[in-house]
Amino acid sequence: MNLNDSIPDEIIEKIFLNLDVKDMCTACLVCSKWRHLCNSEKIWRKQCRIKNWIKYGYGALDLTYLPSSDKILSRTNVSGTSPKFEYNVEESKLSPIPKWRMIYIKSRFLELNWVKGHYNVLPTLRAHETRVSAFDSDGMVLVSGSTDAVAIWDLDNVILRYKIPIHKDQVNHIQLLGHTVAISFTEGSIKVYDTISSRLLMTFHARCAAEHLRFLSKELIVCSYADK
Amino acid sequence: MATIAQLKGWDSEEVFNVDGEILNQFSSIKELFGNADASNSEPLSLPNVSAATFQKVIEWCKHHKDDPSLPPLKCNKAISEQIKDVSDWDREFLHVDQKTLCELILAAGYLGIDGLFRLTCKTVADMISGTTSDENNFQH
Repeated sequence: MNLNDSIPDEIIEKIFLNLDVKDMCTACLVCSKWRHLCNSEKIWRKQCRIKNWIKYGYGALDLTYLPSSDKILSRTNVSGTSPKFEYNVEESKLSPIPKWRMIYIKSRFLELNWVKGHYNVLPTLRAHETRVSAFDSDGMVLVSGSTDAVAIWDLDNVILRYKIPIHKDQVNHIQLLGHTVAISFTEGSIKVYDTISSRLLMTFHARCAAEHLRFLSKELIVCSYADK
Repeated sequence: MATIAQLKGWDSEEVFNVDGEILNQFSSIKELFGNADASNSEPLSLPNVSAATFQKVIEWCKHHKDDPSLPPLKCNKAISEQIKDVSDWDREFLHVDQKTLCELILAAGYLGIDGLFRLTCKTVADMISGTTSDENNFQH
């Protein structure tokens, strides 16, 4: 009795949904048809969901980006192993690796680096006189805020790019998106800066402090305690 | 309970009288029958199910007729975690050769018996899991 001949592909896929990743990788090796069935987006999306890695599929974190500057790697690499992700698919007639499986592979790679201690530690960033009350980062730029200043860091070269002083106010929340950063202050204003030029792009005023900010395409959503 | 459907496998003329409790578990075909009295109508032939397999399916459905309806599978958990305990009865029931197991999967999928379908899929998955690709005897 041959499972391949008697059972339709949809049901084999259902059976594969019961397998864990290790067994699925074994199943891939059995034959090209099984390899093709294992490469189903549905299966790998589910595995990503189990691991809570769906977010990596929606551009929340660019997994291909890792700091490239060699001088930083040599200065800060604690384990002596580079965490660079390299995956070269050989030319073949087999079906390509689907998107969600690739996301799984990359996320798993990052997870293993983390577990095994294969990561770089950047030098301590020091710019604030007082306690840092908020920060946000996309891996390339970090923006931190306290009661005395807002600092914009370039993480690629580990340098302080700009320090914007603030007076009689405190940073409540920071949200970074691309080259734009929105900062809310306890006095109620929200300022939007460009992280490349440190230019103030916009200022909004509200009655009370925004507790949370979120960019949604071209809009900025603001959340606060209205009864204050 | 009264017979409300007469069914037979594709490979024999043996007619199975199915009562409402069991028919209710065949979610994909139960709508065909309604409340009509089936005793004098032609028995319905199931194209994908053999008589021997159908016998097994009915045996399973009889044993599980009082089961509560299954919760939908949660997508953020591994399926193996969600169907943890297979009862001894089920394990004994599924202690069959691969041919029969494949036919049971097909029958459960075709008739829409969710519980049996999940159980048989899991059984095959358990047979695959922990083997190496060379040992995998579904291929050979």
